[in-house]
Amino acid sequence: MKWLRQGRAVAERLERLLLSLLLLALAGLALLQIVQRNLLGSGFVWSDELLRLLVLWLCLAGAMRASRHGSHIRMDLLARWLPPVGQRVVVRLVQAVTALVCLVLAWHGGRFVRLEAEFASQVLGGWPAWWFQSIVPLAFAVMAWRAVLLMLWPQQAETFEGSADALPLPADRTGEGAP
Amino acid sequence: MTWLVPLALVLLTLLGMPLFAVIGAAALWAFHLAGVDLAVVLIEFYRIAEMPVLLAIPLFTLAGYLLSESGAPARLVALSQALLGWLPAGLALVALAASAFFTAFTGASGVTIVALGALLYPALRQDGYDESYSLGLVTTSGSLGLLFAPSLPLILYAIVVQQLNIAPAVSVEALFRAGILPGLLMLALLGGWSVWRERHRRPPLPFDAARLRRALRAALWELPLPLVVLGGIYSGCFAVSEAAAVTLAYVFVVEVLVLREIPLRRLADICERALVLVGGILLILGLSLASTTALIDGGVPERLFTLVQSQVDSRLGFLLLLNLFLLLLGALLDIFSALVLVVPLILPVALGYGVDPVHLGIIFLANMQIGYLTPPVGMNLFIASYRFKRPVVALYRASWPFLLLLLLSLLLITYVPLLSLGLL
Repeated sequence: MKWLRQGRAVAERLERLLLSLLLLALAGLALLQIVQRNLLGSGFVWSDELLRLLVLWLCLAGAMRASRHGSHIRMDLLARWLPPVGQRVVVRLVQAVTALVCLVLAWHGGRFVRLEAEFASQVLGGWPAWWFQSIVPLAFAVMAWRAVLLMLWPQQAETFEGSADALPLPADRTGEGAP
Repeated sequence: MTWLVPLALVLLTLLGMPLFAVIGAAALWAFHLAGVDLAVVLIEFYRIAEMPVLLAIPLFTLAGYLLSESGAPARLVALSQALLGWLPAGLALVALAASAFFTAFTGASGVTIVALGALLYPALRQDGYDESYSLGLVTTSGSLGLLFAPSLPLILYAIVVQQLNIAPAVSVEALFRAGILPGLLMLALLGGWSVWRERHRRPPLPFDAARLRRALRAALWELPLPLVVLGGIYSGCFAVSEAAAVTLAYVFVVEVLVLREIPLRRLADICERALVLVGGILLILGLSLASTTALIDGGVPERLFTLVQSQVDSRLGFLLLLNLFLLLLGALLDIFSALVLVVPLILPVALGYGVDPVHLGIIFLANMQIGYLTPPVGMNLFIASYRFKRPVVALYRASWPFLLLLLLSLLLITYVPLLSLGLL
């Protein structure tokens, strides 16, 4: 289990770095575009496209991060009233199905990317589109993996006790927000 | 088997399966039944990378998170107090105004209850407001500014309508304008009731010019923010995504570089939490693009329209029915999922009854806002229960007068389209 924990720590640090860098790039580029549009009259030809790809990446990076503790948006109408043991059983069941769905999405995402590679679609004036699209199957695969981990260790999931846990509360003020 | 899968999905949803997985599974199942290659789900999902407006969502969200982590909420309350505190029920008005402003910037994700409620609730109690009223007020405040620019749900509604391509184009700017009067109406009703309720109370402080000057000076850096954002958008100087980029840059410079209230090492953490929210919303949006296509291919909106039309013959009757349905929906589902899943279904029906898409958007969001407070499962009730350590039942009791007033404003918003369309 040690390799699992270490791998996880590295993955988490990489993920944090990726998220911050993506956000920085997005904000920087969006600002640059305004400056260029207003001062120079035109932006890069491809800056619009790059911004849109960055939004896709941010979406999936954020979604992967949310899978770590199962903090995706959800309803918990029934589970809220269950006793703790029942809740853990429910988490296992729900995460198993989630893993399955993510796996199917990752698989067909892989096919989609392969198709694009065969068509040699291009983005940003000449780069192979599939380089940028590979995040789609990768992200769903990571989400499937994390759902499996939560299925095996349901106590890692945020509890149903107060669905506020599922919300990104300022941790330092409540002292009990998302880790 | 055809019905078993949807049934199982409904049950799993109620048990807390992440909504993105439910929507993804539903889309996969629908395309499977239709005999379409399942890669189409991911091709539809990839349209996320083809919508320029989406850029505004991460930028505004991060700006909102930075604001909520800084001292801005405290300064906002101090300033509102200096401005309104001398009125009867002044502090209640402060709470309403500050919350509406703050929610507009942070989206109705419960951040307001956490960031502002923690300041306002003790202040209200100390000022002699009873516990029930104070709790009800901070609970309501969590979704109060939903109709004001630049709230995320307004942006998302416009995006969903644009994607459907069946209505005349609805711009984000039009929705920003349409929300002003309905939002003010809600504030006025709640504020008016608060003043009436506290009419025998003497205002705690006389108006104090020096105090106002101090509060203004403290909030000097944040004061231009609404002007930059709202002025920029409403005047047409900025596109929405540009306004979002400028807002984020401004907030970053002020809170991190000038006032230094957020240390640089906290930034990664704040980015992470903002992106968990953004990622969750966009993931649901992307997969709902696929499920919506499946629904449209299956002719579901037309069938729904025929069904509704055979039962309801007037526009008002339809709107009444719609309100009932949306109130229930808003209590069950979070606002973002409800938007991306249900708007594609009801928009064609509403257009058939001659409802303006912008008006529909305001009705939809007003309902969702009230859904946050509706027992037994409205989200604000649970956040407040968690935050203020009170049983949820106490919050049901505390928030019902607010709920009634918001329902009254909902009726007005629904039956007076001019409220929404007057400023367009």
